[in-house]
Amino acid sequence: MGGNYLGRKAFQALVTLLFVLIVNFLLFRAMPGSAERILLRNPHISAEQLEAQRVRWGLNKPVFPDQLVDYLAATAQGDLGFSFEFRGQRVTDVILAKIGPTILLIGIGEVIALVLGLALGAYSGWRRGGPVDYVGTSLALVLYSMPSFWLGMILLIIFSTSLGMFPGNGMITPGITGDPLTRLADLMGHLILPGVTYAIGYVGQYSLLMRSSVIEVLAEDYVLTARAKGLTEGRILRSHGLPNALLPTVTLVAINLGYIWAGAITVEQVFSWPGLGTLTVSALGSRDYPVLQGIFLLLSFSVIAANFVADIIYSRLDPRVRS
Amino acid sequence: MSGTTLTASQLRAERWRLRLAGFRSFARRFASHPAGVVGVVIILFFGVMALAPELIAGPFENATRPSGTPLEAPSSAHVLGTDEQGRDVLNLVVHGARISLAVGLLASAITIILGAGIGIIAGFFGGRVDTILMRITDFFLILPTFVLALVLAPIIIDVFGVGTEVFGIRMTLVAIIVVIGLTSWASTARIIRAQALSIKERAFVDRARVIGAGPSRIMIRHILPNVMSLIVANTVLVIASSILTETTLSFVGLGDPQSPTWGTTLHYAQVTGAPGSGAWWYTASPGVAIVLVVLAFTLIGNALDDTLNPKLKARR
Amino acid sequence: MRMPLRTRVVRVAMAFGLGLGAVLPALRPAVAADLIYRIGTTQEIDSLNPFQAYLYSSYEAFILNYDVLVGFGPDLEYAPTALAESWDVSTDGKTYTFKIRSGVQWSDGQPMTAKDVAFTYNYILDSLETDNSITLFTLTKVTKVEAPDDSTVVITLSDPSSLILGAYIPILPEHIWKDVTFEQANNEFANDPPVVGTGPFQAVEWQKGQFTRFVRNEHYWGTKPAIEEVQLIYFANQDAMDQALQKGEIDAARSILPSQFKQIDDDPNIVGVDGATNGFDQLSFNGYDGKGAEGVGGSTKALLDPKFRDALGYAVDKDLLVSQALFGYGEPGTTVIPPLLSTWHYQPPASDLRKFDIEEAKSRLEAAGYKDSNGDGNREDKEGKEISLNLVTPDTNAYYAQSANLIAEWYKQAGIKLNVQVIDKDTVTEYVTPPEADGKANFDIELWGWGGGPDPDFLLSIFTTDQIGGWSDSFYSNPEYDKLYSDQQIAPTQAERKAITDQMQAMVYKDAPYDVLYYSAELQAYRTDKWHGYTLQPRTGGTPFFTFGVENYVNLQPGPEPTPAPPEATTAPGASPAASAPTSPVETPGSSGSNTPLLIGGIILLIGVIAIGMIAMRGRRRGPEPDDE
Repeated sequence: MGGNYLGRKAFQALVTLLFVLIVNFLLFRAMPGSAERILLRNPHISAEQLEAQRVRWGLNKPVFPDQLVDYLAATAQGDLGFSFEFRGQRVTDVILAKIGPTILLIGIGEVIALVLGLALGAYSGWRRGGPVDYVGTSLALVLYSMPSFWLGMILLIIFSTSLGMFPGNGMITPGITGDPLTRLADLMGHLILPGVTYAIGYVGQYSLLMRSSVIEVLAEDYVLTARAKGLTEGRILRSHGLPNALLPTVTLVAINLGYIWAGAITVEQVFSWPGLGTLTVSALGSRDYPVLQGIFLLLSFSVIAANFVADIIYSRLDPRVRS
Repeated sequence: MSGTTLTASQLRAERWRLRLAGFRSFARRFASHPAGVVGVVIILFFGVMALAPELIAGPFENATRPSGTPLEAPSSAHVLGTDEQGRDVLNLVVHGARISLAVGLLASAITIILGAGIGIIAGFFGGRVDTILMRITDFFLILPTFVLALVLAPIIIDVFGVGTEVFGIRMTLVAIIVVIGLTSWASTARIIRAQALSIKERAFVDRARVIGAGPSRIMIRHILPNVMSLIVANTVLVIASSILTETTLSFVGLGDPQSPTWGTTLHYAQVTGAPGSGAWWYTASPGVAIVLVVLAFTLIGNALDDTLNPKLKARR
Repeated sequence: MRMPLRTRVVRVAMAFGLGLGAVLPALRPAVAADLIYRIGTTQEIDSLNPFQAYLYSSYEAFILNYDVLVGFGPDLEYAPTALAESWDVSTDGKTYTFKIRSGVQWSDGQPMTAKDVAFTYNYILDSLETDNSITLFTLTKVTKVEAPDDSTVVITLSDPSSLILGAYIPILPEHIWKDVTFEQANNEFANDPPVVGTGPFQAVEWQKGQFTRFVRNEHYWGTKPAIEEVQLIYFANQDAMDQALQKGEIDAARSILPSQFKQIDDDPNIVGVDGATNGFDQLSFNGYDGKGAEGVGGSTKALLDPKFRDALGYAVDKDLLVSQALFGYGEPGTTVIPPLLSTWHYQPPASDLRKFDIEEAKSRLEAAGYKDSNGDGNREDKEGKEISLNLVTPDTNAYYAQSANLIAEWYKQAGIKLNVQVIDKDTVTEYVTPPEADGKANFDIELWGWGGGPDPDFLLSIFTTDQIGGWSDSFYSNPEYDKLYSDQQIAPTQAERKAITDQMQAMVYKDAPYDVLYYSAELQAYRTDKWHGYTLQPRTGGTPFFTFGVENYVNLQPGPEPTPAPPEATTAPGASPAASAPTSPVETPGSSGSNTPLLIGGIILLIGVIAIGMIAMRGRRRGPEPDDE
């Protein structure tokens, strides 16, 4: 039974992925601004040179089906092509160079968001109506309504420009030399503001969700039974309440992780963080189709995969779904 | 059924009375949620700002005749300081209300019409139609909104040409509205479809089919009214998220450079170096406006949800 | 009741985080006192291969890596400061003989000779015969380049012209480039580091999106620089770069934000340079006559009418543009050769200059036949169509968008509708490409800028008919102008040449294919606490970096400017002489906007937010709980 369910989901995921690939390919080509002109960068060229360039990059073949088929075939083999903007570099290399910083930023951000959000939400749900609940939930609502990059700008003004406590741009101090510990400290210092900005955007979401899950769970029958049996509140919470309340939150986290790349774009802009978000914006500007397709592919793949994982977790943890 | 027979006009009058009573009880229930009331108050405040900005801040200050010097800190003359061209920031924010809210509302309209429409159709027809529509919906759900918006906006402008106008709104602004609508409808579709599916199974729909009512009649006459409360609650939340999305897109530079939406104002604050200059008033003011409006809609949306759909708790 | 484990963990985590936050700044390294010179730029170099690079930052890479044949002196005059020690011209003006410096080595130790010069020039010339022409550099009127021996280069021209002296072409090593085909040179040959050149610094590392490192060339033929390494550091936005400069993380920066320039200049350890730019920013009117072809050309024929364009010239307040969009750093624009090239700039007489006057603009538009017949506030063109102009401008500079918005406002007052579109520069290029180069030229006005070389020839060439399909974005075509252009290229004396170029500038001003808005200043800034000896080029109104030579790099010496010994200790111990006291790079917080109102405002905001939240929360208590039903 479970296998069938998963099998179906896996198939759906693959179909969606294929659909995404095709639209992905077409979408960027619909953008105004032709790639071959940008490839050449030189307005002072003859029509013959333009044509020669097209041939060279395979842009002269009809989009349907030749270019599309070429693209699909190559992608299936893991060949994402060469970047237009960074001549001679493979798309995979270009993207890999920028993934690290984004993963770092988002990784730290998610960890902070999760720890704070889950803790806050659980406590709020447990001690509903208490002071922590009031302040926490209202704060969460407000944070949820805030554009995350704006929060970043404000933090930058307060902590970087005015108080000078943290650097407001980049990942490392340019041209830094010194022992690894100093460099690590430098990296952490640069990571704090963008990481916190990113995290705050999600703390609200996680805490609100966790809170309502905890409230729901605490009203469930089996909790009443446990109480009747004489178990202490803490015990109930720890062994029954929290694990069940975690389910929807975990699902949300999995889904969020899928979207994380895109979510980081504005935060990276505000703090000049050299990650995937910055690469996306610059690739869009220079019509670097191969890189754009590569990024889109990565994003879609991660979202589909995350959704799939969420489905698995859900089916495992919630006995009601499997039947 | 036995009972007194009523004339057609009496029937209509009765219906109106029932509706009025229903509305009154709704209002009472809504009012028991202070959160929602707070939200309504805030929206009314911004509504006034949007409809009559001159009353609050005077005529829109245009950049060719700024009233102050660049980047002045807040003072009695300029309560929220000035921007990099010397314009009063309060003036900018107040006049930005109309466009920011309008964009949010129009984009939400597109989102709701598309989302609810597709949701109802998919839920009602089921089978093949449902599968195809849901695949498409999935696709839109998966595509990272932001990247999709970055791609679609220039395409739309290019296709229609910059000079064209739709109902007096510039193309650059129309593009943003359409883009937000196109990238947000998917989750609404999902929610509505789920509800439509459950309604489809109900008795009165079967009866209508037996009588020979066509699909569109059933969808409009029977299913739609019953998802309406869900749609209404969802709409308000969609408005909140549309405003946030517009802010983000304008911040990155995709917005209309000539319209002082709050997002565009933040964009200018960023590119002219307000954060580094310490001009916090320039960055904070539009942001606070956004937070208040989005928060207000969120509070209203949550309260509406509680009021209209008390038993419905969307569980993943 | 015991606190749940999670809460305790959270508290510890928060304490740890806060503690770390307090301690980390102290751990941050002070930027080492080393012999590395760091320059901030917001534009990354696009290629180390000279034939593929269009951006100004790449040109800085070239003057570091390579030498040109003829150098430029303190006032941009031709000087024997590069590879040519001297040169002669034949009496008919068609043969130039250059004596090449001896004893010069490439950075890999190989000897540099005249043969490398001839190779470089012939490489370009030969490519023109193929499908892979190298068009980035032009060798105007050159027919033959020979190196009869290791120290002589002879260049033969088809017509007498001194333009060859200004050929800004990096001399490349034959032993590296002889194996590069023209196709490769134009496409995938990246000229990866370590770059081999004769310049004072060689590129050894390029981290895309972050920085490029240039290490001192130990084989350099000129004065050995004190700097050991130059780093060009790329910043995603100007604000971040300005902050880094003020914190001492970089030593100099180009493109300081106009709104922050004063604050930076006021810093005792930083000198701001308000350099005149060798270029201008303009409105280009689309003069392409598509002759009715679908989708080609501008949206109205009015753009083809010089009287229309002339009238619009009165509707722009250039003084206000400079003071507001440029924060005063710049000069209102007139003709297309910027005042920086003082030898060549032509200033029209006051009677010819268009002054800002909306009423004048209106009456000229009326007189030219552009009236508002239906009274809706917008004028129609002679075909009866409402004039709705579409302006495109790249997103590279904030002041472009601001200028466009201001201009839209003025045009509106004159009765002309203007829509502004800010897009990326490559799409702008696409829009302004005409059918001759496979485009559609469908825009109405383009707001962008040009940068020129030390010689005015390039900027003048933009308006020739030949350049339609090339550099021309106004598609101006005037046979008289074309004739003058070829004449000035072969004018025998500078005075005669100037007479012609003056005429050309006046012609362009009158016909107005461009409305030159301003000559925006190039804002650079450099720190004086770790290096001194900065040299500007040109000496007046120039900048230290991104110029036409390496003089500044070679002259810089470590340490602050040495102060002459004070006569006697008359000043009280507390008051130290300001600028020359050696100060260590301190992190100066932003000076505008004090902290107190910010903190107070922030606290009030927070309280207000929590208050709203608490009101909202109270409802949950009283209302029916969803679970209680």
